[in-house]
Amino acid sequence: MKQITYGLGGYDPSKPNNNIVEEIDIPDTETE
Amino acid sequence: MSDTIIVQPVVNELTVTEEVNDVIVSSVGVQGPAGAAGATGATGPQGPSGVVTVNAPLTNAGTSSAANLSISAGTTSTSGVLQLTDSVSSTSTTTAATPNAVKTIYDLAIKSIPAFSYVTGRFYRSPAVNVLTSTFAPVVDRTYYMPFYVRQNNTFDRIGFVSGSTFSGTGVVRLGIYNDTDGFPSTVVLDAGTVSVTALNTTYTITISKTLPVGWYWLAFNSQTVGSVNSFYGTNLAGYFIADLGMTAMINNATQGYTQNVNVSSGFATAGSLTSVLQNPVVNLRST
Repeated sequence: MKQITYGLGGYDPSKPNNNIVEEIDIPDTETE
Repeated sequence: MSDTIIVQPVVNELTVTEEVNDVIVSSVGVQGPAGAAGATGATGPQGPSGVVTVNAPLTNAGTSSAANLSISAGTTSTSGVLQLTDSVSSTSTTTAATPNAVKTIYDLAIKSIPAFSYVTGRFYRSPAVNVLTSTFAPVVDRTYYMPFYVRQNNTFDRIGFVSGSTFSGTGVVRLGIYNDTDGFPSTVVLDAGTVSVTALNTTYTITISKTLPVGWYWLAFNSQTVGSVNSFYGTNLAGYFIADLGMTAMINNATQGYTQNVNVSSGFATAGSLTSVLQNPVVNLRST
């Protein structure tokens, strides 16, 4: 599962990458 | 016969037996011892009267020349002397607690602290959530409020959710935190902003820095625009109901949260007309 993290303030097209500060793949550790 | 007789200091007695024209004493004798002390002089005039100035909390029941001082009792508005007490139940406002009384309360306070602490990096969500569905479909321009209890003062650094297993297209979701007033969402604590949702089964978080004191809050989720399939992880109908926050009746108020139909493209505002709801998208906070 991918985890996408925005910087303070969330989506902002005036900032690089729309203010997305991190995109990582995280393991599925929980089944719900 | 000589005309001059010179008397030296050692001479104690002089006897002149013949006429002489001149006697010259060249020196005086040795000074005698000091005389006895004189009598005591007369009493002098009376001095000025003394003045005693008294400042609170000292009081003077006497006069300025014959003071009778005491300290007035202290109150919540004036300084003064206080009676110490060991009581841990007194409601007095004119006595002071002893360290012994403070320790009694301290020992009780330590025992009452819940054995819980947030763990850095973990996500927390509403206690109402029991069973999740990955295909909950929020309605556009509708804010979903999920209750969230902060068990100890804590700072959170992420707010987020997970897109559903069938999500497609592009959606915009705004996230926030509301205060609780008498069991309902009320004023905005934090408007975290929006995220652009473009993928299924994806965790979306917004960086925040918010310290929340102990108490109930409401995590807010609003789909400003929806994907072609607008699915998210949400509560299942079989999930727990909210009763901790109080109900007006023992039936008919079973709810997992509230909704409000409102456009929040300009940001969250104070909650308005609320409708109870049995399903919500699940919003999480990450602890520092």
